Amino acid sequence: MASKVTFDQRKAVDFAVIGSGAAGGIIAKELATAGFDVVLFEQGPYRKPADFTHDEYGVLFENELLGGSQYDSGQTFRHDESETATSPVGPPAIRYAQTVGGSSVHFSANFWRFRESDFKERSLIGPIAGTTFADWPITYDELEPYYTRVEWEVGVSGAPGPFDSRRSKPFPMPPLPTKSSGVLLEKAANKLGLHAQNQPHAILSQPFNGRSPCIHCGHCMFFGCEAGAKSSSLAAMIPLAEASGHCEIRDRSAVFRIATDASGRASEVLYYDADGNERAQKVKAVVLSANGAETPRLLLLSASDRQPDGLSNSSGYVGRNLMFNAHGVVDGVFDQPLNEYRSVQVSRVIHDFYESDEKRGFYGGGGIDARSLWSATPILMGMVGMPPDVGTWGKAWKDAIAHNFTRQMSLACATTSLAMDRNNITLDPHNTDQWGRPSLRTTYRDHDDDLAMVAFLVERAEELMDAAGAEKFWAHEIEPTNGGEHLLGTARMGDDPATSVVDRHHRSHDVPNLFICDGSNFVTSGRGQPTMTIMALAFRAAEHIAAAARANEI
Amino acid sequence: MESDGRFMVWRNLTMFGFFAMARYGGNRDHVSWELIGYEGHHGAWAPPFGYYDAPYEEGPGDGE
Repeated sequence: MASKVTFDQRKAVDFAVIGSGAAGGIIAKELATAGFDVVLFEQGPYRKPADFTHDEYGVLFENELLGGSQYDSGQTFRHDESETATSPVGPPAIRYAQTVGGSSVHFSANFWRFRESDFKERSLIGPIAGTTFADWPITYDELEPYYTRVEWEVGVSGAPGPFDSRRSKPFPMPPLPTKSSGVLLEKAANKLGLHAQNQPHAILSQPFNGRSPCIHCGHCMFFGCEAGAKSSSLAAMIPLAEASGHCEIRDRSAVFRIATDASGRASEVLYYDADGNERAQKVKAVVLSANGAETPRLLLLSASDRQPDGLSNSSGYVGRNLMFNAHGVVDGVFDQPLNEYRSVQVSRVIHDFYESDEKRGFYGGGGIDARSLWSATPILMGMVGMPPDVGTWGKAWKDAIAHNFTRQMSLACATTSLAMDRNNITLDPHNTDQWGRPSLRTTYRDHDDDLAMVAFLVERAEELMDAAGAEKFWAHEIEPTNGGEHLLGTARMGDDPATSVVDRHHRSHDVPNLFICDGSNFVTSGRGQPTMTIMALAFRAAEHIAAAARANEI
Repeated sequence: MESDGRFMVWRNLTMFGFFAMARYGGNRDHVSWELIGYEGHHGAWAPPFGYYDAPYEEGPGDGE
């Protein structure tokens, strides 16, 4: 059954899908199982579950799954145009996995649906000065069947919460067990009249579609899942794509240009192979799913005489309106061991502050979840998780880490980000990456409302820590965001070609045989946890793309 | 001393050596992990995971 196919580079393949992550993995599987020939490009290697380790140093500090450090990628960051973009010590600004399955391999797998309001907040709230705040061209109801497909085809554990939008089918699996952090959050929420609902996960709580459930090893965040229980596109979609006999996974292949012909249609995908040689794959159509940073970079790299500002960029919106979701954290220590290093990051989350509320005086909303965060692994704990009053070394510090590692949890606040022209991805004018492509340059400063929302949630999290009975708790300083994992907004979907890059079916307004589907299409940021919505968009996009191809309308 | 960048580099390298997996050459017999109560060499766990979830029975999840 499972035959490994390879496609001739000189013969136009039905689809080149660029990027094998949350969106690309689903679209490749959907198109290949529908009978179309697909080459799935991935710049990272094809790792299998057995290749994933619990090596904290290698994964977190040598950036193994990220494809190396910012020195390899040449990535730069600045808060605004007045600053010179630099590559500071530490993780790169844009953090995504370079591996088959993309960042769905290394994410924590917190997996909310968006709500009805997320798609029409501009209509509900009105304009916000200095932003490109807008409604989505689609509604929750239009996306709902595809959320359900993600839950039932990719594999999602959970239980409905009191504020969730309508669902057409129950979760296919019960939630993962409530951890000590979840019990404490629920106790605190009950005291304060709030609701600590089960966190949905793209992680299996039971055997599902021939895959094994979670073994609670505690290595979700940043790590790949050696059990295959995390519902990455690698675990859930890629095997089906390959088994169709219509999908070639072309890993370690870094695309540097989508070439167009005289009629303005995409005709070739140019890339560097594993040995660094230039290659070209002829194509009938392209699906670009490289993530909200790499997608705009590739469009900008594909500028031509006909499209001098970048491919599919007649609107000027390519790379603009970057949204990361802002974050805040409160850490707390308890009397008895929680052992948060076991099992998944999060088991309970509070969505009472999800909706924007004009009484707060600013736009925004978010969730507060209880999680292991730093106390999942020891080096991270020592680097970021220690109380501010024990210094950075010596006996007090050592006594504190010995006492706290098993007794600590964090309340993580994830919020909205407003879309603004000033926050964007551009090509760095000086640096190149390990393949020689101009590097990602990120320019980002949160809207004041985004940081006000973080501050609001951090205050609520402090009240929750107190109500949970923490011996001691402390908030991390609220600072302007200096990078992120949620890469949203940079190739917006919309009905008006003047203010968006793709239409409501993910087709480029400018290039008829180019489709773009990933976090870049988001019009608003949601409140964190975007991958569920990326995957739902991918199922929906694939359906339209396949129908258009069958009708000979690409 | 902490404000000296060189100190923090050595301090962080020390932490890597002490807390990283033993295959990097430090952390013999998981000595650092034992110090902090981290049983990271166990590959899998089952609930209850900690003190507070031991007596816990799954409720409706809506705070009622």
